[in-house]
Amino acid sequence: MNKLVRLIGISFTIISFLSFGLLYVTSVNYLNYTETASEIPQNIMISEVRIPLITDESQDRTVEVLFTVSNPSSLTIYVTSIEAYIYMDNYSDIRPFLEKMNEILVGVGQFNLQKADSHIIRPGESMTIPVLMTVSGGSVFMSILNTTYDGKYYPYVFGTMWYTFEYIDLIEVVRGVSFLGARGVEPY
Amino acid sequence: MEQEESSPIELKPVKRSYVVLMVLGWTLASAVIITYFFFSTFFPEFSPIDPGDAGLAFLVVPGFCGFVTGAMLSEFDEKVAVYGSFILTGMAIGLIFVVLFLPLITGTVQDMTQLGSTDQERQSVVLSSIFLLPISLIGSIAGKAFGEVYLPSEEEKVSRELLIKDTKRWHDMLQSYIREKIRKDEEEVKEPKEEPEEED
Repeated sequence: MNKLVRLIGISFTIISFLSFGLLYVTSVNYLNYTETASEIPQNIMISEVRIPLITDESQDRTVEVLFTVSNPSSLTIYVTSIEAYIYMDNYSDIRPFLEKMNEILVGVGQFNLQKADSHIIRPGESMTIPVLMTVSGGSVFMSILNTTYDGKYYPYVFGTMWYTFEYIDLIEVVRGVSFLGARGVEPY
Repeated sequence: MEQEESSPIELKPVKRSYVVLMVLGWTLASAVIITYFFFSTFFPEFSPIDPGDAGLAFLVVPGFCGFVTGAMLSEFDEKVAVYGSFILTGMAIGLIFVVLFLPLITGTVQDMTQLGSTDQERQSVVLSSIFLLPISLIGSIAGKAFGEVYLPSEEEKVSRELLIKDTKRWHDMLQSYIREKIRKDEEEVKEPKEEPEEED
């Protein structure tokens, strides 16, 4: 065999092996990403909504929505943003939710973090992430928030979560994380 | 008549299994390279390194791989290089599809909608992969021509030299034969044969 042919053959084989290694890593990342993106939405829930007892509507109050996120996948996820729309149901208004939603909106609680400062959830771990929303005292939103029935609050919360990955530069969005407080929330 | 010289090197007939092995080996090596660049161009976020411009994956890499495959198979017939480029394209497209639907194949997800790639991305991959064939075919033919001219094996070189020598020897023999024939003809013309006298 010609020496030059041998040299080309060896170089090409090395390139092929390197490409195989890169293809393997790429395929594993793609597989893990697909797995994570399909599993995370089923593992996010709003575990609790904490609303203080309001005795004086002129004072600011903070509502706390606790998101519990489990990561059953094999990739570490970085929760960079959560947005929660908080509504307070008014039982004296018998219209369906969709018709009265604009009138019972209390506000939006959210946070946006850089990847370096975000909530890191490793494979197999769970984390409860609080999202805070402060309602200004004396505002119309405070009166909407201070709507109770039998001494309980009946909030609706709709959340959206953005997360990214350790080595994969993609941002995933999970919409429609909901809390429907039909059983009511005791003020603390 | 001069006895023919025996060749100092005997050309062994190429075994079919050797040809098949060589074709499969080089086309697989090429297909792996093409698959990596092709897939990572569509999904660069999953690749550990930057795969570069799309033109590299669609034009340069298939052309280069076809060229090298053609050059490595240049010791065989032209049709081997052509079949090689078809096999190379088939293998590359097959590997691309395997990687694309790997989550479904491994059972990680049960539904196409849950794949990490969108419908549009998958359609783009399928449509673009069609162009692999002409590019790798052109590369393969060019590689075959290059390999034949510039990369002949030692065996091939010796056989070519022998062929040149043989051709030259036959040419010389023919020349001397023609010269001899011309000389004889000229002699016949100068000294015509005496015709026998007719008897009365």
